[in-house]
Amino acid sequence: MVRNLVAVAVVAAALAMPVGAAELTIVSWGGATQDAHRAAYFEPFAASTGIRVLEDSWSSEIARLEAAARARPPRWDVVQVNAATVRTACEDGLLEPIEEHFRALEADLVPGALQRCGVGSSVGATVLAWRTDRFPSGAPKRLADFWDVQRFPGPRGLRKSPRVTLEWALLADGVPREELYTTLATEAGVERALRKLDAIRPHVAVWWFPFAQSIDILLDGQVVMTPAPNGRVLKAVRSQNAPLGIVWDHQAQNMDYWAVVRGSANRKAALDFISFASRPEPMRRFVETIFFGPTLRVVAENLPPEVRRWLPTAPENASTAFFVDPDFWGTYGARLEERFQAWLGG
Amino acid sequence: MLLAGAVAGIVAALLVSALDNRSIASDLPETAAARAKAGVGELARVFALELAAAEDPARRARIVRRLTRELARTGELGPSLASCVRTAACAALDEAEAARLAFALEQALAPRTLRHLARLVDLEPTPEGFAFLPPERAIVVPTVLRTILYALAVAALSTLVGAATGLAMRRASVRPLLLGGLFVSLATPHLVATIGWLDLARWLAAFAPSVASVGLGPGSRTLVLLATVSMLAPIVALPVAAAASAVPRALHELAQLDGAGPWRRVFTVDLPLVRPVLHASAALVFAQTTGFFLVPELLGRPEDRPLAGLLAFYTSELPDPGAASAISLLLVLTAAPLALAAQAALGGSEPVSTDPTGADAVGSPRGLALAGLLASILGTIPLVTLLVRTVLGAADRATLAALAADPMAARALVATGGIALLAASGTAFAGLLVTVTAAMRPRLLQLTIVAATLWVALPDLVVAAGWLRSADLAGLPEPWLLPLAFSVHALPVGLAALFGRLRLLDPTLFEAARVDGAGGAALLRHIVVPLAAPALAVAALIAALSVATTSVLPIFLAGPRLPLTGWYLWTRLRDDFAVARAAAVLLLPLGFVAAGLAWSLPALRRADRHR
Repeated sequence: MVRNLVAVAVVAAALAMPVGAAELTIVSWGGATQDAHRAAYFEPFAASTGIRVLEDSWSSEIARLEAAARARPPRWDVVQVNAATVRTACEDGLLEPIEEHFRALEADLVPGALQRCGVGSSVGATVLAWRTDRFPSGAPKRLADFWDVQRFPGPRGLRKSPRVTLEWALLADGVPREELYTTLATEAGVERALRKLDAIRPHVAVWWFPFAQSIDILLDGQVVMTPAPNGRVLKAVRSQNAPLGIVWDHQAQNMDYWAVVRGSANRKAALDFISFASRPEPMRRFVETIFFGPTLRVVAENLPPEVRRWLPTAPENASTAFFVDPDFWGTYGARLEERFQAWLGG
Repeated sequence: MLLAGAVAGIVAALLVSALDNRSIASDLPETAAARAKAGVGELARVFALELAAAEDPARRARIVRRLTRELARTGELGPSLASCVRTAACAALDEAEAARLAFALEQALAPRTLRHLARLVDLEPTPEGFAFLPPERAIVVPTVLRTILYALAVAALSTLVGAATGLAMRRASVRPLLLGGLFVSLATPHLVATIGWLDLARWLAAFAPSVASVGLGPGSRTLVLLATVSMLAPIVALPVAAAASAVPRALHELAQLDGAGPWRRVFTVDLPLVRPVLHASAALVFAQTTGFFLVPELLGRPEDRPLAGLLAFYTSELPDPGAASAISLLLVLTAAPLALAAQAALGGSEPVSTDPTGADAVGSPRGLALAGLLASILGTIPLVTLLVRTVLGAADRATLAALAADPMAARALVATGGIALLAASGTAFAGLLVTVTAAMRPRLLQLTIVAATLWVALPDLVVAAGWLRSADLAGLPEPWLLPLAFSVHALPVGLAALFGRLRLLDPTLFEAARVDGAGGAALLRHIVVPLAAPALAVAALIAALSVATTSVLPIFLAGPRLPLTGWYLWTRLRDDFAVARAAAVLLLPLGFVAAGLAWSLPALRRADRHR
């Protein structure tokens, strides 16, 4: 009997293993973003080249990238990375330098999109999301309205992390955008941010942790306002007709990049994929699905108005936006995380 | 011995990694050479020259990143220091700034560092030596104390609940229900169960605020304890059940002749005999709880981040392998005292030397059966909550339909089934090896229980990295990695079940068989295997279920090439909790199938015949 069981197991595992020679393993963020990547990029690329695309997901856990890159051959080929990882992993030799290969593309991309080891793929944002059915007398329009519990009563949600939270506290307290990170780099700036958070703390009902929770607590009515990724808010509005709105004021933008894992056995196919994903037509399809900002200027300029109005990069939404500074967080992240964690416990 | 060797190897690797400074000396060789003999001003000059001459952008970026980080650690960067380390303009530094730069260079260039280990007691290196961090930055010691308290409370409660369930299992009328409850709980991935408890807490807060206010609402520590116990009590209950079924019936009959009622016999006959199993299981639960972070993070208070939460932070948000290794070491060290206590408890109790007739026929008191039933219901609460929500919620039903139609979900189920069978066989085989060892060298059991507990205390992340490294070194083909890793993954709990049973077997049986001329193979076939069969079956089932419910190992070791349900759920849940609710509908039957299997396994029936 044991022999039979083992035989069944081997057959089942073998059936689940993919077959075929040409393969490319692409790693994205999972969930709605990966669904959009699949529809706009993975499937059309596979159809046009005959290369089978295998997918994985990650959340920027460097240990996984290291494990994937150090295996022989590397387990991943193309990976989505954020603005911090595209620099640090490149410096640490985990990603291939591809800047020169895509140099011709530079003029077509928005500033900052071409990095030594990455090509910008989209611009997402953390926005202030709110329940449209809770404030019949007027919608919140500014970031400072998150702190205005008189005009906009109801429980709040905040991310259990200093990132964006501290920036928003300073901006809501009147620090100009251009002085944001120089202020946060000082002890006085950190104290000021924490004092501002003290003011809203009694009204924070949920300190959320995974991004999925931010939308969940809004849909469930546990909170009436919370920071959330713009793509997830719009997905809930479109797919579930959820009563959610977005305050674009002081949205915290971040750029994602396509990168090639160092030593990839499928380097040529990986570069071909990034070229494909940097063409206007697939990028337009991606943007229309998930409402992230495009990195190709020509796509941004030619989108229909009903799509453009939902994008974090649309001029009317981006007038007060700021980019989350990866260098700042690389430098001060450890110290601020300790301060924030101690503040949460205090 | 292999397990102990693996634990020792991983601990040594963690120590090396915690001491490794990831020095940038190769990027700044001249500065590194000058740092021992030059004064602070001269060192700044050498550094500025070398940085200015660095042409490779990656090298330059590494230098800038490391030094700005080092300087930010000890205070504000300031414009002079910032332009010195970023643009090599160091001429404007005053003496104090030059001294800070020299200290930062020392920290960045040293080949090894004690910093990560010192950080475990909230100490930090300063130019004057190590100093305690101010309270607004000292987070590790409070986190360690909180984690220990949490793990102790969970271990105590799980032992209580698990013992009641395990002993109640002797009552034939409730056994199927208890098995059903336990296996539903074991078949529920912790990710899914946590979201189930979260939904229940929200529902209570909305519709039964008085119940929520007694500690069952969101952000309640009682809820965190209840949820964790519901996930871990089965790993006490099953070993206790396996041990209790081997308690000699004659002892019960003697106690009965002395006028002892059912309850008194539980306390005077059963509990003393299953005590070593309780110790071993409590140590396992403690070790496993120290690694929990999703439950306290999602259900608990914002200030209740556990040690494993810090580990997650140092492996993703702020990648720092040294800090992550030091915290992993701390997790193992935290579990070590309880592992040793469990070992001492095993060593201190004498084996029972009577006939091996089990006491299952003795049954258990009605009150205990009721307590066991209530306890086993605990583990089914999250799945039932999610099911109800899925049935009621249109959006969740749509997610269920999408999940059912996803070909990757189907592939994941097939692959999980295959790997589960291989892992179950592997665990049973490893368990058999332990059984044989125990028959020949009982003292080795004590070493094994310590190794097993410490193995459980190792974060899955570390174990996965260890497997990958070993596979790369040994040239092990990828398809073999998962079954091997999962065979070992569930082994500690399986071993706890085996210990309980083996300790209660009569050594004279082996002596008698030997006198009769039985060789090693005959002993194994006719005595060891039949007697250990129920425990081996339990171990194999737990291994199979852990393949379906664990996420970290599939994420690291296989990913999409061999998609398992743990990997699949993790990739979907990150975006949408509704997936957990939908998955519950698919997972509930899995628990009952496992319970049915446990009930009908030929191995169990053979053991009954043996009696």
